[in-house]
Amino acid sequence: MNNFKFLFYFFSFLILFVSCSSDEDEIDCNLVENGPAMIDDCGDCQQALIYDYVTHQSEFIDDTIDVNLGPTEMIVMPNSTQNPFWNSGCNSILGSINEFDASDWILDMSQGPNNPTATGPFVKFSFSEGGEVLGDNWDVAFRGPTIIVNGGEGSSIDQPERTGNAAVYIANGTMNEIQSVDMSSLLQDSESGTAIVDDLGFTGQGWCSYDMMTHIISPIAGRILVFRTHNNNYAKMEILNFYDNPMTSQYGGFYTFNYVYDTNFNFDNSTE
Amino acid sequence: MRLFLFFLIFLKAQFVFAQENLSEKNIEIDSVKINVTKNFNSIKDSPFPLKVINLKDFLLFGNNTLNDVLQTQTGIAVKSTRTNGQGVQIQGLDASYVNILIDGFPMIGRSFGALDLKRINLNNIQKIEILKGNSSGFHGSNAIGGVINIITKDKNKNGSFFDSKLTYTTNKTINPSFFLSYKRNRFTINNSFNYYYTEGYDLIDSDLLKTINPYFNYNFNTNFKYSLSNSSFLKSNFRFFNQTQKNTAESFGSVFEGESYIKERSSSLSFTKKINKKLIIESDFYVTNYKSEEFLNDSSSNLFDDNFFDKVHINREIKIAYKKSENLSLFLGGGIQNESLERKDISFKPTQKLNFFYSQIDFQKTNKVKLVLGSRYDDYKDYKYRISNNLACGLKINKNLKFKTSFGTGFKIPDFRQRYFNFTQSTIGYTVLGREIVEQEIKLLQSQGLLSNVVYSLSDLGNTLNPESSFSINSSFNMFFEKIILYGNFFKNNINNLIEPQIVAYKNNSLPVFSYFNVEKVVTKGLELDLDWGPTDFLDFKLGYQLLYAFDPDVKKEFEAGNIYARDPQTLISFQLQEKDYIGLFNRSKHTFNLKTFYSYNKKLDIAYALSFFSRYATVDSNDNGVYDKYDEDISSYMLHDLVFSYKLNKKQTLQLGCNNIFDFTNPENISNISGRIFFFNFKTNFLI
Repeated sequence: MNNFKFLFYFFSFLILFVSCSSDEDEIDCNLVENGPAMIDDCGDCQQALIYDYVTHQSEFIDDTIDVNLGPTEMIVMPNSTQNPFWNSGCNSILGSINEFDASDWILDMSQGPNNPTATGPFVKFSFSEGGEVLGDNWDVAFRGPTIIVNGGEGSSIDQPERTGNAAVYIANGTMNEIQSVDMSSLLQDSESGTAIVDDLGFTGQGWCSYDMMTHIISPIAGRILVFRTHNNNYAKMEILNFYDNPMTSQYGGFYTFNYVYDTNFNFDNSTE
Repeated sequence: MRLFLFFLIFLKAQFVFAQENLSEKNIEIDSVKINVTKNFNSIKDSPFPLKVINLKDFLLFGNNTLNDVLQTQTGIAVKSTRTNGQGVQIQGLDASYVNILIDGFPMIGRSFGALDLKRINLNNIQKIEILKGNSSGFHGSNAIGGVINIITKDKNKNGSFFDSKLTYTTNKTINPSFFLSYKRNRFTINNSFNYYYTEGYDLIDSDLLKTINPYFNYNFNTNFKYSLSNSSFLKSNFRFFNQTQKNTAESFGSVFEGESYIKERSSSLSFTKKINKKLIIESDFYVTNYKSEEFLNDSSSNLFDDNFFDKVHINREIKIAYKKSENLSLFLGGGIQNESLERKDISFKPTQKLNFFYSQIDFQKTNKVKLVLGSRYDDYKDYKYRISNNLACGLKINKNLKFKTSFGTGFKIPDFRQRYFNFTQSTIGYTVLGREIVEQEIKLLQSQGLLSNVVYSLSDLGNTLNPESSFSINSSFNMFFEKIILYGNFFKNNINNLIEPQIVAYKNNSLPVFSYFNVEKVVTKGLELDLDWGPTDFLDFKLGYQLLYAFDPDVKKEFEAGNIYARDPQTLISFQLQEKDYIGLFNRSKHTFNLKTFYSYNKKLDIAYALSFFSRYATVDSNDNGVYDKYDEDISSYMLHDLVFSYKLNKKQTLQLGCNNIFDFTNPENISNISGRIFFFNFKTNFLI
């Protein structure tokens, strides 16, 4: 009986103590009381976010309390493996681009049915600007399934002139895994072809695969495009989708991708 | 009781006598029918993994087409292809590695590698022989997965015989068929005619197309036999098949309509001569032509797309069978085969000539040990000769236990498309060139200044493709108990040098040019089990099970090296896959199971029930890595049930009522050849005229 009394008092005290301690406010790196934000290995404060897995939109949130989730939304905690920003942004710019429109391309059959040529403008993208650019400060440009970089030589006359020092290669891994640049793998475009093999997905060597039956192009999982930008910074990119949603064109050319742009060269200089 | 005993003794004496007689007679070749292993001896004793499906095995299920019969056979799967056709896999190997023969003569006309099984109606078929594993040693190119030989009906009694069947089923399918045979002394004629119409069916209502469009076809088959003397026979066959089907396509809300046609004609002439008791010579001539045409018009009736395919196959062959002694037989054969093709996207009419020769030694010792060694030499013009070998050994331990083991090597010669295709795709703009024209076409494009880069050196491109090659092992046992027969077979098939397209050059504006190369490999291995249990005279159970592992060893290595990732289709998050995550090739179940039950009541009513089970499989990749892994969305395991009642009205007439797929299983997205529940009604009549 005495024992029981002791336990009763002990637990009462414990409950009091615990509830007291929870009264002490903890302020997260985002200056929110009891907030979920955390500092990652790069020293960046990372917030929790709401991710919509249909539209691929994400929205940063200060607190996970009183959040109303839509039917296709989920909360991603800052240190979750599903958070692409965690640890990937050491002094870097992180971004997600939804349906970057490079769909304005057609096959020109005027030179005969056996000699179709793809025509249409290349749409230029700059990592530092985080979007489409019109000038020479582009890093990478898209037209349909073709990807070129602002470095080296063009392989046909209708490509934009290369003015920068960009280069690229395809690494195998996830965005979080690829933390270094293998300098020896970097390739520039040349007169004989683009650095990223433009195979329409047939050989499995490029960024996508092609389905002979449905004619659908899908980005291959685990292919990370590692870039040297036109002005010698570094970036990495994971292409997630090639079509708009809902699909308006069977020819695709709408790039949805995540990228990390590194201004201070924080990728290792060495091979992994 | 005494009488009974006496009867038993008498029976036994009879039996012994008969057996002695038989073994006497055995020195003489008593059958002039050649089986699928190019052997005149009894198929029952063959040490190869052979199976025979007899008429009575499918009669009670009321089946009308070959796909219905094969569907429930162990080790065989009839799977929908991605073009809404269907093909037959044997031991997990694709339909393109299976040959189908009618009375020993090959069918031609494949669509994406598969022969359309609906082309064969069962109304004039007596039995089906299935040879699994490498059969190139008997049938040359293609027969890597196995051979299905369809034997047509042949009445041996004098007089006229008439046989008809009328079928009506769900989907407004009508199928009347007639068989008429007449024999008088030396002369026999067998005719069959068959008409098939179906309205097709639609599994997905929300799109603008039907899953299977309406079609009708008719089939006419006639064969004559004439005995010139007691020792020489003349045989000829003519087969005719026509099909018309509605053809549709959809693209972003607009529908294209047209028709597709198939025309098939085959004829053969055989002469068989028994030189003496020990020697038979047979010579065959066979010609077959498969023609298909299709078109699509847009909504204002302008031609949108069309296609044609016209292939001719001619075969001349001589076969010699020599029975040296009771224990030793020799089989020799050889011939010439010509093939030619006209089709869209091949600018000329390519031809291919083959000289072939084969031999087989069939040795047996005291009915216990049986050894067959066969080799075939195939010499294709433009290719180095190939030799395919088969070795099989059968061992009879006692009357309850038999073992068989066979090995075989085989090959598949590159087809005309892989050799001569010249095709430019109109929406994305890539070009595919057959391997034999790629060098000259690349040079031409280069001289016209249309290429920006050639990836392969031209001298490498000048080398011809190697045939796909394979090796297979089958090892089986047969156990006989009082009322049970148990059969088990372990199998393994390796195919190397699979032919796939690769980039050879880039055109200006970076559009790629492809040609064909030997790159891939496939392994299938597993176990087949068959159990036949007849507890009473009126009840019979047949159980079958197949365990199958089918994979690409190079992909397996990529998994081991950690190079394969998957992207979750919902969250778009990528992750690395482990070695254990690789499941294998698409469109194959690891476990398949079938159960057939036959119950006969009063000798008037027969009830047949079949169950087929398929474990989970995927038809396409769903997580962006092109391979089937455990995170892919797949088709969960499913079962099909069939139930058929057959009632004999009298000696000549039978009524059948049945239901296939009783629980109305469908999978609209992935399985196009399962239409849902089908009720059917058959009325059969047969009589002597």
